[in-house]
Amino acid sequence: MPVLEWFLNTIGYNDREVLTHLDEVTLAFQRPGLFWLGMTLLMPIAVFVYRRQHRNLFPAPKPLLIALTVARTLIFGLLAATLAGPYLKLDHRVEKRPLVAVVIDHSDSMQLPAGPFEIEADALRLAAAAGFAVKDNTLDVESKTKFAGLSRAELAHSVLQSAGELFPKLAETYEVRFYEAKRQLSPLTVDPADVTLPSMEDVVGPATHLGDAVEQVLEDAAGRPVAGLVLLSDGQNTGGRSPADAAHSAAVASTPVFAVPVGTTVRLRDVAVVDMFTSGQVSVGDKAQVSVTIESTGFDGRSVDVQLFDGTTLLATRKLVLNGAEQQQIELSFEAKEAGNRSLTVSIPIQPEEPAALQPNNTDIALLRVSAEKVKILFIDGGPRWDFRFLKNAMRRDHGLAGRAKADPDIILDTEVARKASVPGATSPYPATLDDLAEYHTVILGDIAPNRLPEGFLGLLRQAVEERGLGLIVAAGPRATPHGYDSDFQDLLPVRLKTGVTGSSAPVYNPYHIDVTPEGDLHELLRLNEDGGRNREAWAKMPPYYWCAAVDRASSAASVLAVNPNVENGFGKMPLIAWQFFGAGRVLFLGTDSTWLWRQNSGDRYYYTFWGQAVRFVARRDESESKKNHLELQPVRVQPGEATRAELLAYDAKGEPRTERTVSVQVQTPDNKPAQIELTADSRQPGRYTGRYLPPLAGDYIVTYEPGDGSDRVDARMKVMASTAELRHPNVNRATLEGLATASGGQVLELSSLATLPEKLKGEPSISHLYREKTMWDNWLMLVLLVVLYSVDVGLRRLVGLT
Amino acid sequence: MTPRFVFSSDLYRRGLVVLLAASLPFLGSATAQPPARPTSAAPLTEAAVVARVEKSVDRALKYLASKQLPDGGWHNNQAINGLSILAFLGRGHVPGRGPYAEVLENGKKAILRSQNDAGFLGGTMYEHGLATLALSELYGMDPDPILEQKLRKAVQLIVSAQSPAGGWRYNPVPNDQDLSVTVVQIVALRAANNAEIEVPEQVIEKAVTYIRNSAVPTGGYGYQGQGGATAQTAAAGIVSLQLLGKYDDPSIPKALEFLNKVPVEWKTGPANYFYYFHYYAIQAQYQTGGESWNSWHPKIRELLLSRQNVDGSWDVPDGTAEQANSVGPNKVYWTAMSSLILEIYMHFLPAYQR
Repeated sequence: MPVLEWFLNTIGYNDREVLTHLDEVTLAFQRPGLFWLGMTLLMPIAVFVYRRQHRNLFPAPKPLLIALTVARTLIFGLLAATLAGPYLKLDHRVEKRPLVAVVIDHSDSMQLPAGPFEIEADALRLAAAAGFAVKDNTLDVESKTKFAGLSRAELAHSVLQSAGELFPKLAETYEVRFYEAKRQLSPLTVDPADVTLPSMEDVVGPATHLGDAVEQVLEDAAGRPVAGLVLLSDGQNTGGRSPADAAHSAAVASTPVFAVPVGTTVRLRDVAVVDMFTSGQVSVGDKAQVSVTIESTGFDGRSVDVQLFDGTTLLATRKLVLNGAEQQQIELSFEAKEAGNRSLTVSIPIQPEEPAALQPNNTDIALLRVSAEKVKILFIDGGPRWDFRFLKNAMRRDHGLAGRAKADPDIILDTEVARKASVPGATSPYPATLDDLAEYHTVILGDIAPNRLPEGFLGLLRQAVEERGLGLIVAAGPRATPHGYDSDFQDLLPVRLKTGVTGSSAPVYNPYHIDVTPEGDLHELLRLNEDGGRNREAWAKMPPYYWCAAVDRASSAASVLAVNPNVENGFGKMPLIAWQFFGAGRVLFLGTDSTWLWRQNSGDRYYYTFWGQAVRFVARRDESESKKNHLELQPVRVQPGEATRAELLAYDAKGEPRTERTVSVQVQTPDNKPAQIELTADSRQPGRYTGRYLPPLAGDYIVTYEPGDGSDRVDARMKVMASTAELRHPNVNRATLEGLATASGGQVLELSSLATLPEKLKGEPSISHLYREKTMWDNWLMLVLLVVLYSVDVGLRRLVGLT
Repeated sequence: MTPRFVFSSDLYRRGLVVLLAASLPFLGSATAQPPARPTSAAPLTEAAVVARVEKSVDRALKYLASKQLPDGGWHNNQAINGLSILAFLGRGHVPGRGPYAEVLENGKKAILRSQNDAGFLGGTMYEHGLATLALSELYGMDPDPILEQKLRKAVQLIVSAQSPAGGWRYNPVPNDQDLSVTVVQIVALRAANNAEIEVPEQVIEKAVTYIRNSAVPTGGYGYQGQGGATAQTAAAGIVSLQLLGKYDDPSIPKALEFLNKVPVEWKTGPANYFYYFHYYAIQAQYQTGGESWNSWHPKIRELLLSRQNVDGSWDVPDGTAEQANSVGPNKVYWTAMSSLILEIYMHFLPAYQR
């Protein structure tokens, strides 16, 4: 095809697909009949032209006559070919074989022992599948010892590597890809003809996101048929998308999941702390409560001490009689005497019968902030909607909150204000001056019509936020907030509203959900659980809702922490929770009026945590504190591979916000290797610097800002530790695997029966066409050829003096 | 035509006392301030269990919705109507949105229509208390000004009908009292108070005194005075004091000990008013928390989940007191009560707050 390639390059044709498949390019005609007629007539026309010229041009020499005849005949042929509409055609068929994805769970829990196995016959079948020599229904001593010592991941690897002809045969019909699943799915370079998997040292991961793994396989397939997704796992999902949702996606994509349980269903004797919760913050003098949930197997009736430590100091102990039938919940409490961050550990003594691999799940840690500050709150709402009723009680119970003059936050409910207005001597409960209003640290404005507020109040509110740093939370509602407010007020918001609508309502069949953004995932406001994976899971499980404020987009200075994924426009998904600075103050916008739904299953826990964090996050900083350096890390507890966000408020020795473009903070790592984080100035807020840090290893970190100019040195601490979720539930979770398999149209496949996989797979190759056409006559080369031929004819005649 | 729900004097005492079951869980705190008690008992953490409960309640609500009558009620007894509305609210379905918006709107209207000029809802203080409770929970989520107006009247009627001893009885007059009717009114008042409808402090304090005076030395509380103490009244009395903020009342530990000995089973026994008892009992255990809650809630949960009918409804154990001839037809009462018991895990109703 060199000529064709030359031709196409010369005329400037550069379709890569065609050039890549030139050997499949053919010549065709739009009017083939015309072409063949022309070619058929070529010889008679040549004879005619020659005889005519011989007659008319006598005594011209014969070579000249032949040359002229050839030229005219070629012109005719070229014209006939051009009229026939020649074009190049490429019809390239690509056959894509269906995919078979083999996903191996490589998380921490897969390092647990594969056994013990209840039924010896099952154990022998597995051993044989794993490549051990089974003779006369038994293993030799050495093999028995080796087999008994295999971890779940090692067993899975052994079975896959000993599968003989399984994968080579599959590769004849399917494209077989191997992946490993931890927090994320990663491809493994494995040749199906010779399956060799990575060594165990390389495969440990701190989390199991099975749902995400399934979704990523579907994404990786990019529309290609997947004959089967073989998932080898112990089923202990610790975060990410729920396996049930992923199974649904797989079913929609006609991708059956073959779940292969790896590990024993024999309940190992174990006591585990499966959950530990604190309110996150308390005030000095408060009785701090720590709620602990415990699961146990094989220790019914045994009494154990559940202990709470702050570092090495024992804070509280309670006895618990273990009962394996159900989770048990216990509370430990202590008096919070000193302000600061407390790293609390709950611990149950290791029982002698517990296997070594499960002993780490006897402890858990949580962080508690003890504050000496009282945050003054003004909470205004239009009517006793449910969020009002829960929130007012939450605030009254929070000893770190107060009113201007009272021990409890100031709460104004408009229905009561209206009712009492007619009573003689009634006074307005609203602060009347800027100074009064600015005494508060945070104002929560609920769903109240603006004309129910005193005249001038909104102006004062705006001024207090902008000039005095008052924190404002705007909690939307269908009555009036914020769509009923004028543009002066709406300017404060970190969102821009749609005009002409009072809210956005979901249809009954498709309620709204809440999605946390990557920024929200790191933000203290949405941290309901110190463990990142569990935090994401908590938000993913929030119940659906049917109404939210009709937001068009985020404002240019806003940080969006959560969105409504059901509503999208050119600006992206609808912001649901967002904040921004407005002058000196922070404004937080909540587009949902149903945060009470977050109480499902958790009661006060998440609800109080969220609101306690919200009022404190936006709170005005006191004058005495406002010009001091302040460093925070969020979150303060992360898993390996997770980042934390550093926020620094930096002032010089005169108390003026720093103006450098970047500032560095020093990091003391667990292995004492010094490191640095460079923080970038926030253009919206003088003196504020932010940055991200990815801690390299597990342990305790101290981050320090040392200004070196006489202003305060400040530090912050964080802890990096693997999620204890991996070892919380040590047994194989067959229920999760069965659910995943069944809902996707697949089935559970035992590890010893992997050889039956081919007969269960269903998939046809997909055929895609690459079709191109390119006309050949409409280019400069053809024109040049025609002109050249004609010029040859005319030129020759003139040269020899013929007419 | 739906037969009128008839109350014999015996029925007042035994049959409709079951209606108390829904009332006690909604008691708010004893005073205008909620108790200064930080969050306690850890949340349910087993997702699989929560999912089963949700599925079960959703089926039950579908059943209840199908039994709503054209006039918006489920019965001409406002207690039944109140309980049914509360069952929807307890699952997080609120007025004006979601799949049951119309059910709630029509149910609300049925209750509001029943109010007479004096503010009385229904035919007895049982009905009035439960209907007032339902209206209190709707208030604030429904912008209907008539709702607020009638609710305030209903609350005022309760206040004015309190007896000198601090209790209430069947009729809206301050003559007499018993624990069953009293608790219903307390619940309603607390829910209204939580919605910032003012209730005089002395009304609540007198009620607390009345319940305390009903305490039986051997454990539990009497139906009238210290007489007639049962498993039902024990649970009801505990919850009353807890929800009024008297968690540490000296009468509670003995009553709790008595309560914990009652078997959780689908048959007649000490808990002869099955739903009445279990609705009080689970609330009492929830408010107590700790070991008591740990060992109690799975038992009643699994019992109810195992007894739900295919159509989403529940029946009542044979031989127990709350048969259809006393609590109304169509299994509405049993289904609403089971839903409310299971909805303990939802934590949505404001009146449920610890």
